[in-house]
Amino acid sequence: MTKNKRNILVFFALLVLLAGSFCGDICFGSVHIALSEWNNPESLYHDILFNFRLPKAITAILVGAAISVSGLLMQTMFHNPLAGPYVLGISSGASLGVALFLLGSSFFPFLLLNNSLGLIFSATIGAVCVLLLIMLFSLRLKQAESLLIVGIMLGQLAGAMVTILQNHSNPDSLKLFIVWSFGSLSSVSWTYMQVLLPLVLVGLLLVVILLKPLNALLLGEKYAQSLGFSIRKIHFIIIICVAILAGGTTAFTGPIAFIGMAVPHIARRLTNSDNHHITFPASILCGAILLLWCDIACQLPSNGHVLPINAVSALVGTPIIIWIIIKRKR
Amino acid sequence: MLRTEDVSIGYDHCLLEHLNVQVEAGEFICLIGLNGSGKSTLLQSLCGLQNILSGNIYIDGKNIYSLKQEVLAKYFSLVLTDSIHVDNLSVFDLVAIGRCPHTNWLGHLTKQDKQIVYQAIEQVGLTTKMNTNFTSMSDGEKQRAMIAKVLAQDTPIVLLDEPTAYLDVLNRIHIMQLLKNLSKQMHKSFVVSTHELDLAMQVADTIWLIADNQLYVGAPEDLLLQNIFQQVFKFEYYHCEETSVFFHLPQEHQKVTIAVHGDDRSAKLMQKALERKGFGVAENASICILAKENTFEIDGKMFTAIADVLNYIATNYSD
Repeated sequence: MTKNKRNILVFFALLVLLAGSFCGDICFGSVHIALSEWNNPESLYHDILFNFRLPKAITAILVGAAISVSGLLMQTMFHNPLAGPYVLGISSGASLGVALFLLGSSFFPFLLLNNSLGLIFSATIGAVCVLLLIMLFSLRLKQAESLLIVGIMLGQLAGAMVTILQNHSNPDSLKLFIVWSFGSLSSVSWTYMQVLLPLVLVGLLLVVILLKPLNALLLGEKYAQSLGFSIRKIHFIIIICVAILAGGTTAFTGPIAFIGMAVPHIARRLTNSDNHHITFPASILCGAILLLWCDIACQLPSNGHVLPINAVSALVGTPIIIWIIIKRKR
Repeated sequence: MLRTEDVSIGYDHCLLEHLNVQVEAGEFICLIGLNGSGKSTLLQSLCGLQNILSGNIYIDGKNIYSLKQEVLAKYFSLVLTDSIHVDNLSVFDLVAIGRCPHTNWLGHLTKQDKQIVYQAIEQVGLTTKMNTNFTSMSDGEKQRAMIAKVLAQDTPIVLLDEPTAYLDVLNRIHIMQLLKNLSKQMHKSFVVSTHELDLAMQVADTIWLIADNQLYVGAPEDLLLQNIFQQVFKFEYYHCEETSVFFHLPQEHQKVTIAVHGDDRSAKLMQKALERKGFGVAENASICILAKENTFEIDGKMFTAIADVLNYIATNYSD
């Protein structure tokens, strides 16, 4: 079939693009590194390349893939093109955790032990708490729509608590919190990579067993049920996947806006398909590429200035989403 | 094959009680009833998609509530009235989703699965549209694709909720004919809810008629024989004859009576038009229209179109 041949070509092109973007992300940065320095293990540049840029590029790939797949899951589950990885309140939960850790430290000074580990830990706790609540609701509520509303409400609730904490915190910790909310791919060192990499891989593998029920869900929940799937069970597994993929990555990098919402649309457009056997790998590739591009764009100002990834991803993501809306209305 | 035992269905309040019906293998059943009478609820209750209020439903002697969802999916397939909103799904992909209960955990389509999908698409006459986007098709084609989906699911019982809704007259007939043929060829049981009383009477082995919170079951002719339709459709629109049921709208009546003479066919049509406008038609009326093959003469004036004659009468003779 011609459509299949076309998609093989699309996947091939995406793989090439991914490899190119990966190399590009390593080559470009706030400091220029000559090729001659690459093999000199003594030089500081070698350190920058292998202990800073390389893990950052791998993080971009992992996080880009993870949040894009989460976005795909959420869009299929909620039948809503504007759903994203954070609709269930994951990023709000994570930021509440981080806010409690950073801003609450004025109340509990002993909490400020190890900053980056503490950040990851508190963000994870925050995201997991929200997701546990959502899972409890998913066992009670059969309709995805009600679950969506609960997720948004929980997000608002967490946001309100964050605002209260901000109101009562000192400027220094407030600055730390705001910097966290900018998102950062460079906070993942090789040590943390040992956690992030298996986490994302496990999450993605878990999605593979969801591909079949996800396709059935395309037709609506009643049809999916008539095709032999238990809706509550599927919702539950989807939420676990999103918890691992979006929750796990948010803990390490902070929230990254709009990529997760935009990429599934790009994947569907490129492959001309809604079949998850195709859109799932396509979302992984597109998400990884797009986040690598965002990371490259972050370094553009040079002279040691770096833009926050969360802002750049929004700059890239929002035009794509607007374009989708316009295309849809046509 | 399928048997209900004292089943009550409904949501907060009970819609139908004490249902004791059965579906035999290869039986074609049409489910008829007014909007809100519980047709969809009954269909969804039969296959376990909607919880029943009381009673038991047995499939092959097994209680359906003791069976897992994936087992039920091998007994029942259905087409609902819910519209499907997917932007980029080809007919092939859609029909392939129907294979879900038969494929492995990954949803991999084997050669045999693909063959079944192709065959299902061919049976509904969409082979040329195999790679067409589902959303870009007409309502009739969409309905065919959904029917192909249930064929691919390959279950002994197929439930269809108003498959002829939103379709034009031609498509309604084609779809009903297609369903009937499929039921015969593949020896599958069909339960089809519809508002097409006329078509249902012609294709159904058995009619399930919901009226006044009751389910009447019988061959179409038996229901006529027992005057069930007459009892159920009490209002004047329905006209039950000895051997068929149809409906016609009551007309407002004009006092004027008109006679129509002349060429057989044009006179008959003229007469029909007058009746539609509420005029009485009588042989010896004082106003007389002489109908010829392409002309109508009234009061010495000649008209070529029936509409012009009606206008003339309306301006000159109306009450």
